This record gives sequence, structure tokens and C-alpha cells, in this order.
Amino acid sequence: MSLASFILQSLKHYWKGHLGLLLGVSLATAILSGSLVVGDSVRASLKRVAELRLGEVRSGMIGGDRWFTADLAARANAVPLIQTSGSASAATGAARANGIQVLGVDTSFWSLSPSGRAVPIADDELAVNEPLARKLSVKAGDTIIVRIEKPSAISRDAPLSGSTNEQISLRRKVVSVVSASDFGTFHLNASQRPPDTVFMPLGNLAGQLEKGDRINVMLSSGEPAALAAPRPSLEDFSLKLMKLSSPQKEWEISTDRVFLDGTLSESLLKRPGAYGVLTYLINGISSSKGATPYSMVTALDGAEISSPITHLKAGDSTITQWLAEDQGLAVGDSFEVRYFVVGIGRALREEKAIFKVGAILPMTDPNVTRSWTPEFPGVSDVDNCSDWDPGIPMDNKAIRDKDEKYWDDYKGTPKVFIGLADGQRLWGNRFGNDTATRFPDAGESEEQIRNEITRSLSLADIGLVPRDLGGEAAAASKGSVDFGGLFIGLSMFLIAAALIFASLLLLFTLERRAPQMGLLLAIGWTPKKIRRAILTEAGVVALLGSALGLLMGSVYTRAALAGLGGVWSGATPGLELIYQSTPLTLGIAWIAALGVSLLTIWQTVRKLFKVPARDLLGGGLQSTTASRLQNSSRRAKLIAHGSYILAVVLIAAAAKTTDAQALAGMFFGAGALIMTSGLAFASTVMKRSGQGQKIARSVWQIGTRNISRRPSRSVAVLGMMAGGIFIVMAVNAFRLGSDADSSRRDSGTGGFSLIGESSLPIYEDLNSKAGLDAFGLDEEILRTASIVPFRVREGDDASCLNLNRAQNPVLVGVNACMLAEKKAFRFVGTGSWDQLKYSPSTESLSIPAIADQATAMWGLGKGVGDYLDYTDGKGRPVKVQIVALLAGSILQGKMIINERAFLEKFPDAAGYKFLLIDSPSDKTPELSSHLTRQLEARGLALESTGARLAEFNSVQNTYIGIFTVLGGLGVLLGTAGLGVLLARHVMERQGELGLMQALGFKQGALRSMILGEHLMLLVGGLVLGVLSAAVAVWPALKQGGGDLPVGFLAYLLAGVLLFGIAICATAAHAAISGKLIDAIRRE
Amino acid sequence: MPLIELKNVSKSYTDPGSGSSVPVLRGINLRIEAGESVAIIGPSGCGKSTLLNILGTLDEPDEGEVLFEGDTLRGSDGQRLSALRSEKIGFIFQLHHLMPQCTVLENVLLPTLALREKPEAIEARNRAEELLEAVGLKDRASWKPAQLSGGERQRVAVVRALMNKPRLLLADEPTGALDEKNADGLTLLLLDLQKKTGTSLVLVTHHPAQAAKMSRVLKIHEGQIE
Repeated sequence: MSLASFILQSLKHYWKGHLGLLLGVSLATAILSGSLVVGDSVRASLKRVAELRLGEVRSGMIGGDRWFTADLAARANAVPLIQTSGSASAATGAARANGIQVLGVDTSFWSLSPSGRAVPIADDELAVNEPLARKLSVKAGDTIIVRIEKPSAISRDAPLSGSTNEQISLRRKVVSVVSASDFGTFHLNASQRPPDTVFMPLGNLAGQLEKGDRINVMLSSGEPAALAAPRPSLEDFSLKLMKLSSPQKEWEISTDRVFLDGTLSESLLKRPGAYGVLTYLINGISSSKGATPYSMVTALDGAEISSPITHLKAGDSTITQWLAEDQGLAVGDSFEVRYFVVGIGRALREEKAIFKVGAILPMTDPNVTRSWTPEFPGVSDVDNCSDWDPGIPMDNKAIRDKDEKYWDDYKGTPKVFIGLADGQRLWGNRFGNDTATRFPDAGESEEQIRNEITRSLSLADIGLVPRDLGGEAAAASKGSVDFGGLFIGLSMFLIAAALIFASLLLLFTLERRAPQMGLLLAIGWTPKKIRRAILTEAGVVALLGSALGLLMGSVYTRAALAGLGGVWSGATPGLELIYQSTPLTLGIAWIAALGVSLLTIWQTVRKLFKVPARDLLGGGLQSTTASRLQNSSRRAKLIAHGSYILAVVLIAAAAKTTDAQALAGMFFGAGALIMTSGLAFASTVMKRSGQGQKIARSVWQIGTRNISRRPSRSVAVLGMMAGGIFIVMAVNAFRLGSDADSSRRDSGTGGFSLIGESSLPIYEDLNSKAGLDAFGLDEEILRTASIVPFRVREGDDASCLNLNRAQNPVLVGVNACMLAEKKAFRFVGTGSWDQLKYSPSTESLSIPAIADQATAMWGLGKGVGDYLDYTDGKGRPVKVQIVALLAGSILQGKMIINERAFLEKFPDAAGYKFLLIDSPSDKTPELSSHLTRQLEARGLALESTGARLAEFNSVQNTYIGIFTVLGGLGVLLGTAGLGVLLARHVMERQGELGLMQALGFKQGALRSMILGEHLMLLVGGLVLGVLSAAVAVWPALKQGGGDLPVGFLAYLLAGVLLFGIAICATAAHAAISGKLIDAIRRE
Repeated sequence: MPLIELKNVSKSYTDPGSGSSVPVLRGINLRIEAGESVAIIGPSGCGKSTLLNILGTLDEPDEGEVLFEGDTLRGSDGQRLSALRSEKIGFIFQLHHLMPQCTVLENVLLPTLALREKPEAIEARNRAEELLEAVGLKDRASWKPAQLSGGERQRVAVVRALMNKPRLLLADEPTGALDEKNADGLTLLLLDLQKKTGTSLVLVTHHPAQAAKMSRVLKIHEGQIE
């Protein structure tokens, strides 16, 4: 005989008693491991999504509006790609998709796909991915129309960037529908929702966009550093090198983008003798003697060159003979130049400047040459002045025949030369301060010059930085929402119920063995030894139970995944879930579940060793000294009163709160306190039972007394029922409703009625006359509307709809004054739109940003004061600091910064792609359809702000829904515990029940008595739970309770009641059906 | 030197109804010599079992002192008392309290697991079998308690109490649940074993005839030995 054999014998003998513990631990383990495996599965699903969207791609260089040569990609062994956006519609016009991704690909692209299978596309064909095919209801062989914007060499926001609305419509046959494994879900942002995509042959798309051999993305399966290895050519910087012989021998560097990037100019001007040139198209030159329309003016300093056009003093100018003759100007005369300055939203502002004629150059002078003028889009390539389309309003009537003649003879030859400082002051802009840089020709070869220049420049200077796409994707899927933790949280009550159930059953088993423990103490076993024996015995059961639970966990996971893929899909939007568990997770789950179970067992067993041996020998587990009872009763009374008073105080304080979530929290707390008070009160009553009570005169009254026999056991059951009901119902108070009045400024909609997102940028301010004219908008319809436009730097969606941890959250720029004036949205704590103010003094530190609270907390794991790292348009690191948070808004997923700061850091992100539209509710439908129709070409999609908010809220509401269902299961498990308690009570009281039978009580009466006393606990628990929950959900009920799942909760209560009655009746029937009188005979 | 001695021992309990203190034992003085057999008799609730529990170190006196082999037990921790009980005190209760999960032999061997110095397994088994043979239950060694009669179970309980060769055997109405024949048989067996082993025996009983078989009879009345 050894301790081990004693434990083994005990296990064998009491195996039936241990079944309850086994079941409880199995359930707890199943739920715990199942929850963790849900996390594994979601992570694996996201990883799978990342694998499908990137295939073999590990790194890439994404140019956006920056185009570089396909040759650079070839030299980096990278795959060339054109990535742009647009819209697509079925040829029938029946369906349309905005914001689609248009990819120009060659055969090498498909080699990076997960399957590696090529998708051949001829020049007159295209392929679509499955989501787009579904949206447009098209299949291979059908025809669709794709609209894309012809990219400008320079931002459309730049002055003289040409027409803003250059679109291409392509009508093509769909050659195939690309599956996910064939790269159908390819995209570069970390999101589980693939964009709708059109694939076109690279060369063909480049041709359509007039991009020649230029691309804007290159991808590689190698390291990012490999992409930066080959030396770029001048063309990769969009630079052009030209050798000039007149007016002197020199080299000129200009750009397709009209304005040279500041970083490039800075570098180029470091060359010996280099100087800057800025040529601008002005609206007109006028003097007291005449006027000349639309002319080029060149500003330069000339560095080491001395000539009539260089080193001009401020306000001085040199004009050409043609201009002097046109207006009769002589040296010393003054003239005025009028020119447009492009403001935010392409708002054109005509300004003027006065210059004095310092010199007049004959037309034969070598300095009078068209080489000073860059190629302005819409100007340089047309034959007649009247055909100019420079992107500014033109008054063709002002163009005279002599002007056309000048264009024929001299093209863009400037008529006026001024100092560079003057020119840059007037026409310098965020895109650059020079249109060219010139430096002396010392006889070098073109190749030599090219080499020298490219060596001194870096693609990073213009924001072309290789990205570790594989690493970003891994970080995004790893840092995603922890569904394992989330599901454990949501299943917490179910786990607790399973453990309480196990604990209760273990306690019952041990109670039966109390005399054994008394005996062991009497014969000299130490309490430690007995504890070890009992804990080991229960531990073995827990070990087996947890192992069994791991197997059952797979069922739980699959059920949860089915839920997430079905009714709870709001929590995992767009994600196709796959089941995956790792040995590590299972190991962690096993150890954790075993640990928690052992802790529960230890807690359960602990109190056994506080009971003296003599009491244990008598079969009692409770210390029944009067002083203890009195103390305990006094304590319970104190808790009852204290909790009640605190609850009242909390409700009174809540009356002064305006924050909806704080209000819900306070009422939740008040409800919990009222439940605690109720339980403590019940405990007091039970502990006092029998003291000074009237004589029991009915079987029912005797039954009622029975509840008080083990007050702690009865209170535990009452608490489990009430607690379960309370938690399940009260958590629903935190459901986020679509605001009752979405027109309120402090609501989640900011008071806006519509939210707009366009596939192509809208360059004009739609509140202005120019904006109305650009899109033929009806002034009357837009009279009562006001539109707040946002500039968008594309990135990862950081809203709760994206399960990935956003690595590069979308950054949007807005004129904060527009939102501040409207007092739009509500801030968490203190905060205002004024905090977005950006001035040069703050420039060096960081850019202040405002984000939605959910975005910052859950999407990014950040708070107020935290920083996010970005790379600006010039490849320099930029820090963005969160300065305030918005409460539950439609601006989820975005980092909002000041438009000025945005333009400074990302000058290339032209136009607006996100709009908030304010309109009276009765005018909204008309406005919506009008804007949609008129801005169809821009791919504008409008949605009601209420619907958008509801979509965001649906995620949190889905979590609450999951908790409600899982919690409901926990309550049902608790109800099953009530049945077990009943059976245990009957077993303990067989002798007295036998006696009552011997005294002549019928079985039916005894059954009613047993049933009645337990139904009292059931109903008591339900009433207490419902009452305390009613307090918690009061604010929600007060608002109509529309968001409370009243139906589900009513069903749950009815289910708990009916299940409780059924289980108690079954247990009572089974327990009383035997010959109770035998028990008394045995005694 | 007495085996165990009680000096001025008092014990009281709190009345659950009124919360007032109810004295059970009042200034008990008692000496029990080695090899002595003592019967404690008295009406229900007079404090017999309380006295026995104090003698067996299952309960502590409120006042007074208990000396075992001349050493005071005052202030002893649980470890020391457990060791004392396992090595020197044997208990027999009215209910046998046999472990239903263990065989008769295992039940008898159970006290050996409490010893600080474990006896050799063979040695312990031989002793258990000898004792079982002495009470006529050797052939029941592999049986489970549920397969035994009431008298047999109580005899196993006696053997279990003697297993660790205790100096003091405490029996709390050991025949209370037995019929007359079995009760007489068990009393004689107890006395026989007590004499053979030289153990001191303290027996709580309601039966004067049973008490008369002991070398000394103590009557408790209103918490005091008369």
C-alpha cells in the first residue's frame, strides 16, 4: 500500500463521482483551446490571404504618380507593373464597380503568383478577378468597359499641368476570370478584402496611357535592397538632358514633370556654374501703351554667365524686341504681368506684378530662344494658341493674329526675362521652383554627364523607396486582431460556468468523503498529505479531462468558425476562414486549462482543510459555530447595504453624464452592484433562517427552509443564475446603435448626410463655381449643400473592418477649419479640430493628427501622444503624432491631418478622393443622385453616413452578439448545475425524505417540495439577474431599445426557465422514484 | 509517569441560538497509566466524546494542559500532533469509516502511510495479516468493506487502530452500531488485544456492563468526573 496506490484505488472507486469534474474540465479546456485555435485559424486565414495577395512577391518599389523605366526593373531582376485605378461597368450598363485596381502586367508577373500559372491576355483583351466578375456578373467572353485616368507627368494640382479630366474608356473582352491562386487577389495594401481588379497587357496599357516604356511599380521575389542596387537612369527621375549650343555651350536638365523636384534641383545646382531656370505661362502683359496676352516669362540668375538676361535685379526685366514693338515699350518703361496661382483645390487666383524694362533684346539675339521653355502639357504640343489647354481658363478672344504668328514663328520663346528670385517668389510652388537647371559644357560626353548626375541623385529623393512587402504583410497579419484572446474573452462566462460546474460536482464528491478525511486526520495523516492525495486524485481527472477537452476543442473551433463565416461574419468581413491549429497553441491551451482547472480544484478543496477532524468525521464540511454565522451574516448585511448605496450613487452620477459609453458603463456598474446587493441580502436572509421564525406549517415552508440549510451553496447557485443572466443581458447595453439623430454634429456621422469616395481624384473644389462648372453641377441642387473634401494618401485601412494590423494607415488631409466651424464629430475627452493647426514651427517636430478612437486603439494599438512613421513624397521620414481622438465616427480607418501639412509632405497626391457632404435630409436623395450622375466619370460612389456608421458599429455589435450567444450557453450550463445540485440535495437528504415517506407523505408531495425549493432558486436567480440587467440596459431601453436583441434575450430567459424547470423536474423525479424508506431502514 | 495526563482541562462551545458559551468539560484532571483500560460513561451530551477527542489530540482544551508521556501538548503544531496520533494513538469510532475504495488489507495498512519512518512493505503486510488473523478476518483481506458484515467492518477498524502499535487506543462507542452478540465479541476482542499489546485503552460507552469489563470506570456528569 502506497500513497499512489491509494490515489489509484480512490480514482477507480469514485470514477462516477469524478465524471462531473471530467466533463467540466473537458468543457473548459474545449472552450479555451477552441478559442485559441480560432485565433490560430484567423491568423492562418490572414496569412493565407497575404500569401494569395502577394504570391512570391517579397519586395517592391511603388511609384504611384512617379513613373520610372521598365529597364530599371529589368536590371533589378524585378517584374514591371503598371498600377492605376479606375472604374468598370458591364457592357450592358447593368452593373458598375468604382475604385477598381487596373494592372498592366506581362508574363513575368504571373510567375510570382501563388500558382505560377500564366494568364495569357491579348492586346485587345483583359482579365478580371473573381470579385469583379461577381460584381459585374460577367464571365469569360463577355465585354466590359474600363475607365481610367490618363496620368499626367505632374500632379494635376500643379500649375500648368494641363486638363484635369483626361480619361480613357476601353471596351474589351474578358478573356478569363482570374482565381485567387492565380493572383486574382493581388494587391499591395494589408487588407483581407481584395479590390476589384482588371488585368491588362503591360505594353498595351502603357500605350493607352501614353507612358511608353514607363512603369510605376516593380516587384521582386528577392530582398528590398536588390531593387535599389542598379543605378537609375535620368529617365527614372523623369529628367531630360539636353546639350545646348545657344546662347552658350551648356547642358540643360529639365523634366517631364514641368517643375524640377526641389531635392533634385538642390543636388543639380551643386555642380560648378549651375543655375536655375523657371519659365511660366502668364495670362498677359500690359502697360500704359498696350497689352499682350498669354506669354512665357523666364526667370534665371545665370550663375557665372554675364548677359542682358542674367543677374537681373528685383523688379528689373529684359524684354524681347517683339514685345517692345507690340506695346511700344522702351527701356525704363514699366509693365504689369498677370498670372494665375493655383491654390488648394485648384482654386485659381490671378495675381499681378510690375516690372521695369531694363533692356530690349533683338529677336536675333541668341538668348531669345524657345529652349528656355519646358514642355507644358496642352501647350507645347499644339499648333495654334487657340488650341492651348494648359489647365487654366483661357480667353481665346484675347489671342490676336499676331500672337498666332508669334507662336508659328517662335513657339514658346519667352518675351520677358526676370531675375530668378522674382520668378520663384511669384511662381514657385510645392512641386518645384525651377523648370530647368543649366550648367557649363566643358566638353564632357553625354554619357559622362549622365553618369555624374545619376551618381549624385537617389531615387529615395523622389520617394521611390524599396519596400519590404513580405515583411509588412507578415507584420500586418501577425499584429492582427487577436481573435484567440477575443474569443476567450467572449467565452469567458462559458468557461467560468464550466469550471463552476466542475467545482460544484467535485465538491459534492468530496463532501461525501468528508468522514474519510476526518479518519485520515485522526490516524495521523497530515492535512498536507491528505491535500496532496486529494489534489493528485482530482488532478489526474483534470489531466484526462483537459486532454479530452483538446479533442472537443476542435469541434468548438469549427462551430465558432462556422459562426464567423455565417451569422457572425460582421466580425471578420470578407475573410474566408480556414481551420488551423498549431501544437504550440494546443500545448498552451492544455497547460492553461489544466492550470485553471487545478486552481479551481485547489480552491474547492481548500475549504475542506479548514474543517476540524471531528466535524469531518461527522460528515460536516461547514463550520457552524454561532459566532462565525453571526459574523458572516453581519458581513453579508454590510455588503447588501453598501452595494445598494453605491448603486444609487452611481445612478445619480450617471444622470450628469453625457458620454454614451460612460453612461452605459456607469449603469452597468450600478446593475452589478444591485445584483451583489441582492445576493448579499439573500445570504443574510438564509443565514438568519430558523432564528425566530414561525413554525413551518406546510411542505412548501419546509422546502423553503431547506434552501437555507447550506446558504453558501444556495447563494452560489443564485449567483450563477443571476450573474449569467445579468452579464449576458447587460453587455448588450454596449451595443452601438446607428445614432437616433444622425444630423447631430456630435454624433458619429458628424452631422453629415453623405460620404463620398471617388475612384479618380476630384481636383476642383465642388463648393466653388469652378467646381460646379467642371462637372456641370446644378447650382440650385447644390445651393443648400456643403462639401468637405479630403486628400487621400493611399495606405492600409486601419478601421475595424480590416483584421490586419495596418502598417501604413491611410492618411487624409482636410481643411480642419471647415470641420471646426461645423463643430463636427465628438472628441474623446478634450480635443478639437484646432489641434490640427500646422505651422512651420511645428514642422520640424511632427505633424499633428486626429484619429478615430477605435482606429487608434484597436487598429493601430496607439493612443494620444503616440507617433506613426510615414515616408513623405520625397522619401524622407515623417512623424505623425496623434493629438486627439474622435468617438465612434465614420472617419474610422484614417489618420486625419491638416491639408497644408499634407500638401507639403505629399505634393503628388493630387485632388480629393474622400468627401463628407452636408445637406438637409429632404434634399439628400436628389443631391446624391445628381452628384453620382455628374461625377460618374470620376467614379464617385456615395453612401449615407448612417449606413457607413452602422457598418463600423456592426463589428462591435457582432462581438457582443457572440458574447450573448456564448454567455447564453453558459447560463444554460449553470442551469444544468442546478439540476445536479438538486440531485445532490436529495442524495444527502435521503434519510429525512425516507422519514417523511414513513410519516405518510406521498412521493408526489415530496417531489413538489424538492422541485419547489429549487425552482425558488431558479426564479430568484432569474428575477435578480433581470432586475439588475434592467438597470444596466436602462439607457439603451430609454432610447427605445431598438438595438437590444430583445427577442433573443426573451427567448434566452424563457429557455433558461423552461430548461431549469425540465432539468429540476427530471432530477427530482429520478431522485424520488426509488424507495426512500429503504434509506431510513439502512440508517 | 502516566501515559497521558489531563490537568484542569476545560472546554466549552458556543450556543448557536443565543451565542452564549456552554461549558462541556470543567476542570477535568485525569491520569491514564500505560496498559490501563478505562471506561468513560455518562449521559448523552455530558462531554464523553469531547474528552476522548482531547485525549486523541483531535480537539484542544480551552483551559488546562494535556501531557503525553510527560510532555505537554500545549502549543504543538499540526505536524507534531499528526505524528503523535500516527505513532502513538489509535482510534476506533462508532462508525467504522473504512475506505470503500480500499481492500480490508489496504484499510489496515492505511495508518502506516502516516508514519514518518515507513516500515518495510513486507513487514507491514505481515503485521496486518497477523492482526487480521487474530480477529478472524485473514481470509477477508482482499475483500472490500462493502462485502463485509457490520461486525466484521468494526473488527477491521480495530485492527486498523492497532496497526502502528499505538500506546493509547481510543474507542468512541465502538459497538454502538452493532448487535449485542457482535458488541460483546468486539469488547472481548479489544480487551484481549489490549492485554496482548500492552496498549492503554480508553473506551467511551453507554453500556455499564461493557464499562465494567475495564480496569477503571470514570463517570462524567455535568462536565466533571465523578
